[in-house]
Amino acid sequence: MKKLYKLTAKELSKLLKEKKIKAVDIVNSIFERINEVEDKIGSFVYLDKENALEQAKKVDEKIEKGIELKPLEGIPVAIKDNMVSNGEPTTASSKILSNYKGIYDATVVKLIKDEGMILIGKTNMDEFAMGSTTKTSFIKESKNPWDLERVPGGSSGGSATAVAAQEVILTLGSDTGGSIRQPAAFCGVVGLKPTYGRVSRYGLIAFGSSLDQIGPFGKTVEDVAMFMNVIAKHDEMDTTSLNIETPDYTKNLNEDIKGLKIGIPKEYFIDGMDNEVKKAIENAIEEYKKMGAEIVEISLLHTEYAPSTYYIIAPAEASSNLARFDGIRYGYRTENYKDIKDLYIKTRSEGFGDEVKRRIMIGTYVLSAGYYDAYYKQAQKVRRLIKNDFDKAFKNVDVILTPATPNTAFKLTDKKSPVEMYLEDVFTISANLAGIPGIVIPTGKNKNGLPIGMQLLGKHFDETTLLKVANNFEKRAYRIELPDNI
Amino acid sequence: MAREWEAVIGLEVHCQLKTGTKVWCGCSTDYDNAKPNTHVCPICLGHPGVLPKLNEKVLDYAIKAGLALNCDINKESKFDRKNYFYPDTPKNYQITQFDKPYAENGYLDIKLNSGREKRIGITRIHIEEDAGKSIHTTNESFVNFNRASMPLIEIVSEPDIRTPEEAYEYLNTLKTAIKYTGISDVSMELGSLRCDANVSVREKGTEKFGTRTETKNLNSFKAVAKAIEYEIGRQIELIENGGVVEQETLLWDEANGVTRVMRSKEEANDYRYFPEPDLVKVIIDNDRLERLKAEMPESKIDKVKRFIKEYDLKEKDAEILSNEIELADYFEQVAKYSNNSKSSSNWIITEVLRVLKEENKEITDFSIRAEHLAKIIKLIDNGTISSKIAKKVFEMKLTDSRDPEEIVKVEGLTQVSDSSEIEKIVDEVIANNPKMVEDYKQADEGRKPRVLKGLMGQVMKITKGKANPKLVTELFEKKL
Repeated sequence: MKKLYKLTAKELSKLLKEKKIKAVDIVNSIFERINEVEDKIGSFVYLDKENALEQAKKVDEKIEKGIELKPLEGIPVAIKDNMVSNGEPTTASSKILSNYKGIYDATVVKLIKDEGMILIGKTNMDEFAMGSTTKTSFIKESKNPWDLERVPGGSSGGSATAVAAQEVILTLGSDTGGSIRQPAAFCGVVGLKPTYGRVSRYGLIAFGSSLDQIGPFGKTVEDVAMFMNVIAKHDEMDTTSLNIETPDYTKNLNEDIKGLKIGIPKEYFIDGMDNEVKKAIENAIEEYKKMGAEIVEISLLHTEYAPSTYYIIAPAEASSNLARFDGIRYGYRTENYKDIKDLYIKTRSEGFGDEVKRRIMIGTYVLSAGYYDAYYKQAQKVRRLIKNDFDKAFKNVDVILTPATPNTAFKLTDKKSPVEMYLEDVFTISANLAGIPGIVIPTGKNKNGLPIGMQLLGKHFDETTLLKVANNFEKRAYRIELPDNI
Repeated sequence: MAREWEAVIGLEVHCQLKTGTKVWCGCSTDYDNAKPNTHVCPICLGHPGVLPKLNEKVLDYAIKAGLALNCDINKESKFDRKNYFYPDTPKNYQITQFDKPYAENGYLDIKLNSGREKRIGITRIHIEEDAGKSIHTTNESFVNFNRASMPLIEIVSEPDIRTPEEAYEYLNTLKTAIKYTGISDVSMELGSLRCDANVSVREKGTEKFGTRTETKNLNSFKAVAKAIEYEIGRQIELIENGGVVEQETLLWDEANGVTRVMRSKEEANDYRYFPEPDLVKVIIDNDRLERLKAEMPESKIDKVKRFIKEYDLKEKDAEILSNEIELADYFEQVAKYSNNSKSSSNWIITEVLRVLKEENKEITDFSIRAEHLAKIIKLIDNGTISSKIAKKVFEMKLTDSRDPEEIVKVEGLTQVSDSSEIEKIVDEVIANNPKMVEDYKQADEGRKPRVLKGLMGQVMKITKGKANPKLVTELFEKKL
């Protein structure tokens, strides 16, 4: 039998139910793997093996008593460091929260615990989810398991590498402008950003509240679908969480996609896009044709405005969301200060990293009295146009297929300006502005052996179709083999 | 000729809603005697990751305030963030309503001492959250977050107010109207009502507004009137001496009776308002509005009208009885049980209100139950006791919980209506007061009752007030 850490959640769950393995075996297996590769990868900022084993024992007791397990019961999971868990460090990988422990459970944490999944720790991220490399983390650098000299992407880099390096079976990330999908593409794993309002944000440390969404990473589409069944629930604690029933996302996965219409937006094939990425996407289109899907060329007219719109709205909300980190009630506080203003300035100057400060300043500027109309208000109008583009497109097609990123993973040492960095999310940002779901799955590798990701975008709350279309590709066209020797 | 000035005054009133729980979380709002930071949770402390959720009761109460102040209730409104750093503001922004408040275009009719009535426009009412409280000692500062996220409504008047008296009456009328709905204690002493005054002056007859100042820290209605009066005087004097009024935020210094500068326009915050992304739009549907309309108690104006019509009261009396909804309820109960509304009104206005004032009590704490006061009135009406004895019973009732009938019976206060017994006494008085008797006989019709009163007094003295005055009068008239 393969080593347990190499298996999918689905496979492990089957083995557990058949009493062929124990939950404790799974936990031991993944911690062995973590011991083996974590020093090189740097996926985690916090791990608790003891607690994980304790949870696993409880699951094993249940199995022994013959109590039926829930679908993901006993499966190890890690969450991004911006999701609050009671009594555990939750730092958003920032110095300003370096001493902070959660005093309640985020709704997703509650759901994971209710399912009986085994929370093993927290994953590294860009500070307050701001970045596309995971390099802005105050705590550590994460590395791409396919090439340790390369970035894993960001901001949910740790959640992507943990799955790609097979250190854990499932993880949660958060996606404000592509923070699940871009690292999924760079690391060759499946990452889903659900519809805004599908997964509760309660307990997610806010970056851009109107854009943030929690979503799963997994090795396969099916694993991600199973995980969605756990976390996609209406939550009264989050008024933006929609009160609609959760479908069983695993039910329609294997239905064929004959006659299904896939839109290809011409605006997504831009100059400066990597040729191999382009070719991989063209291949994918051909594969879908073979499966009987109808390919329709569409236009998303306002795509080019998405990054500038995003880099006004997200920092505006962030500047306000991050105001609470002031050293008064919790978190890091500067050592010496003379008055309250000095306390604020020093605490925040010392506590926040450069990228966070840059965005707070942009946000403060675009919301200020003299500039609100020129920037924030204007951005909201463009956001509406981008949304309308999608609404129009989805009248004719079932899903939209695009590249996930313009390039494959770049080197850690590559010097990119902030603006160049902001363009990393050019293909993913629109989905956040429009609130629609998007999934990224591996679609091939380039000549350097780096994964290439494809993105599928769907209608509001139609994750079912997305997962089905993605699963068809994974089952019939391509499934990546995750790196073993790291 | 000296220039004539006119003040333009607008008031911003913050009113704390007694919803029992805070505006975004389930924390209790009854923190008055609680230890600091005991009525808090991750949400009202602004911990990382938390989200607000609008307390539906807050919305209901706010809508009731809007209805009481004759506002249009907007079917759709939204929340916004007002960003500023302050240690007792947990999130360092306040959730409030900026450009789309839930209620607008209302009014309140006030009555001035001269009897003149005036309508004061209400620009808007919006929902917002309160901040915590900072406590400073010589070298340390503390923050108590018990008050953080208490639900508030802010009621903004049109600049229709012209005099301190109008401001004072506006606040009184506003307080009564809000108190009637039961949504707030509206007490400046308890901090559930706070008021800021915007004041400017302009030459009479001109349209354009002058530069206004905003005065904060007003802790009584009288202070509001005094501060406005001071500010009007200061601004006029300043302009007449060639100065210019600056747009400033002022604090009212009660001890010295002056306003002081808190911050100038240059120091004013840029609040960077923007729509609150964590809260969905506020939708108020017809069903909700209709339900709340149905739940609204009768307004004071309607009550006064009804009291005049239904109970045949004088307007002034109806006004007094309607000042507080509990007092009005008390009156209606007494009137119902006694079946004598006039007498009920008189007893409450002269006796009950006097006692409440003396004892500094609310009607809800008054010791005589409505049924018992009604019984006292009935005992007079059916001739069991005289009104003089009734007063005695009333005084006893303040500390005696027994039924008035029982008191009258046990204490032997029943009026003597046995004519043979009274006749004996009348004869005795006639025999012992020949001068008065002669006087009565000589008196013309106009003076007769006065002399009779003296004779009556003698009878009452002997009977300790228990003789039936009507019977006594009849006997005197017959015998003399």
